Amino acid sequence: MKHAECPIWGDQRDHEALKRMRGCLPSVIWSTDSQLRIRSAVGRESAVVAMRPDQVGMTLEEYFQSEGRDPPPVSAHRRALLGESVAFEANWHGHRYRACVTPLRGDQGQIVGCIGFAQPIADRRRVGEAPRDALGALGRQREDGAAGSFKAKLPTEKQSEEHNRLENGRRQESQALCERVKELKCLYDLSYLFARPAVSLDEILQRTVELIPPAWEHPEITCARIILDDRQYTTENFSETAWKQACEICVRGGRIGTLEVCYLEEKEARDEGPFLQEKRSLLDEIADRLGRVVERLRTEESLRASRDFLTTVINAIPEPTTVVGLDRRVLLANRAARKMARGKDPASEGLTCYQLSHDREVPCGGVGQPCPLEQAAASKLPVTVTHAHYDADGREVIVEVRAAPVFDRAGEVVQIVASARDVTERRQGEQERERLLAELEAKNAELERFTYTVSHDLKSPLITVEGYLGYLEKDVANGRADRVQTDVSRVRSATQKMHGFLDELLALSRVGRVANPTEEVALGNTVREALSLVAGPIAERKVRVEVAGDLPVVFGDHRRLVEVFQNLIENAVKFMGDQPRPRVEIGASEDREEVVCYVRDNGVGINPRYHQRVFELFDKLDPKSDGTGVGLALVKRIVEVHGGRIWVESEGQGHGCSFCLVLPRKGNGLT
Amino acid sequence: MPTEAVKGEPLVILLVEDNPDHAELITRSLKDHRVANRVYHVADGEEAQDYLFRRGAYAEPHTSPRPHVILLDLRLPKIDGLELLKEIKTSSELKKTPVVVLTTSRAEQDVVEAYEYHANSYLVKPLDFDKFNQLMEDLGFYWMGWNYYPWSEPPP
Repeated sequence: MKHAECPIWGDQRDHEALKRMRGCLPSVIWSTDSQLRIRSAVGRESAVVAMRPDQVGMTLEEYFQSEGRDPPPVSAHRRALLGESVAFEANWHGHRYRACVTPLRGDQGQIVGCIGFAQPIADRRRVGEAPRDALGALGRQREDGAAGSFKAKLPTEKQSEEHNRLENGRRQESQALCERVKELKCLYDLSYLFARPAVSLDEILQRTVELIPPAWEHPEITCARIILDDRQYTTENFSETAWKQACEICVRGGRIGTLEVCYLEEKEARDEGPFLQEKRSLLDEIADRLGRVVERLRTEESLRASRDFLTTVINAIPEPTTVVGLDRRVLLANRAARKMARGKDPASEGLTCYQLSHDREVPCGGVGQPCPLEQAAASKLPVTVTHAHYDADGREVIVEVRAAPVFDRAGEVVQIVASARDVTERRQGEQERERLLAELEAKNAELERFTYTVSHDLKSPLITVEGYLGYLEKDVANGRADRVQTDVSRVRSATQKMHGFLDELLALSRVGRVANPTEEVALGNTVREALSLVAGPIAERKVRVEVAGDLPVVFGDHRRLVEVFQNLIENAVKFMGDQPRPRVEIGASEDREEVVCYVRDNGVGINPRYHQRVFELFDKLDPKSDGTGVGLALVKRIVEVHGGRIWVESEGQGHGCSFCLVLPRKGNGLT
Repeated sequence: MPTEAVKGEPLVILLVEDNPDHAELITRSLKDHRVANRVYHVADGEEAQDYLFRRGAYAEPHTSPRPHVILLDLRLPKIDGLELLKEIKTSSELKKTPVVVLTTSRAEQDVVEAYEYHANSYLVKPLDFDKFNQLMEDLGFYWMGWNYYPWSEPPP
């Protein structure tokens, strides 16, 4: 009989299985899923005359246009879904068909649909029991034991010779049909086995040999073996005999093993020894599929190995490294990046880069910190930017993000791979270095100013000494005894002045060098001690001193702070002018970080234009006043060493003045 | 017409000097050499302003005769010498009056800045007594004997 090329529809797996069987098809075979939707159909042209591509996916009810009451084919399928194998006859498109429907089982034994086949009956006579026997045998072979019963009522007729002859022909046909079903079932089972996820090659090969005997003509005396590389897989009863069929298992044309089927007993001769030609096709088909499965598993294994290798490498990168899509979703995160997400995998959590790195729910918009994703996507070049990120504990870390675009085949940027290196320490180091440099520059400038001032101011008394010594010589030569006394006293006062200068310079230089232990200093005590040192001048000038009762505590060098207040109080008393009711007030206010103290007087005051100069070394507003002009420079230096600052407030001459100083509450400024 | 060097007339000098000892030394030396018998001494920048612009204690003209030359120290209380120099040299009244800087500083920055503000001369006080005297003598003779002044009548 010539087989016409048939249209084939349906899902890929069924399609494949059915296509392999095309050569030995009885007429038409179809399969349905558990909802009785047609999944595929294949067969000779005449048998599928009524099947169109758009009918795949239809339910049988729709196909038969039956509503309410099921026609026999539909009810036969329903019973198959319950585990029975059902044979029936039906008319369709003017032909009489004999059909058989049997359940289709998944690898767990569960019924996943039906498989059916049908053959047109040339004459309209009924067939006997043979198909039932064959199908019954098929059902009994099932592991689950849920063998079907045959409830289709098949009418019997009185048998005649002619009838027997026909009946034998039918029986043979039915047996052939049963063999096809067994073969088909074997292929289906293999399909399910091979499609199972996470199944090992060992398991596949073992289950495959076990699936073979039931598909052969004499399952009870059939055994099978697969030899693959150095291993072999056999049915329990395996024994190599003379009645053997074998096929090579090849991967890409190379032999990797063999598949063998043996009969344990001699059986009547068929096409290939005792074996049917269809079993040869099946054996070749199974070997072919095994070859492809082995290839697939080996490819998967090598893919897994290379993926594992890459994962290991990526995880070994100490910097948090991610691949981010243009939608800002994290697609891959290495171990360090998962640590940022507190151990969760940002990729499977569907986190965005801004959630992961910036702890925020909306994109950053690049404000303040340019977005490496946008930059790399726009420029198509690697970029490096500096960002503030947050670690797992929410602490800010300064990171240098290096991002490189990932291209698709068309050269378009589809992702970026970004790596964030923690540069907090380096950044802090840089800031510290800048701070130190600035401090050094300031110190240098100060030193330069200092040297200049000192050389100028120390030279002045020397000129005085030299000048009056010269006059003294003249006085003596000219016998001007009257002048000697005043000239000598000028020399003496100049040397004393120089002595004073040197002492104070020494004091000033010590401020930066000798650091007394820093401690919590109660300013109340500090001010009290300073007042006791200035008690003489205060009493002499009858100055009323008011000290606020709640002076705070600061952190610093107690002795130096006493010097500060001593100098400020001394100054206030010294520049009282002709104030009839001289008064000095000392107080403070504080906030969380700083303490602001003031020493206020109602003395002569200071013209605002000199507010800066009063703190300069040797600068004296009143040349006739005592002192060297070091006092306020010393005060300023002590305050600055404490990390504070000082300034003067005064509305000008005659309005008194306030010296204000800020001191930190913590000792971090003290160097 | 510019007048020739001061002849017979006393050379009027305004000495701006905060160090009283130095002021005394300078005045004494100038007087010893009879080059100037009219030295007016002010002790700081502010007083110098008052004198030159005739304010405060120097409001009356007879208290503040116009100097032929100003001897100016640089480091001064209140208003710095350079600042005062700038004021003098930007004042239409005073800018023609010669200003001689007389200081202990030989710092390059001071010298440069003084000339930038149009100082007419820059002198450093010598430490040595003889040299100090010599300088005062030369200074007096130079400004009294040799220098021509831009005004026809001595300023009031």
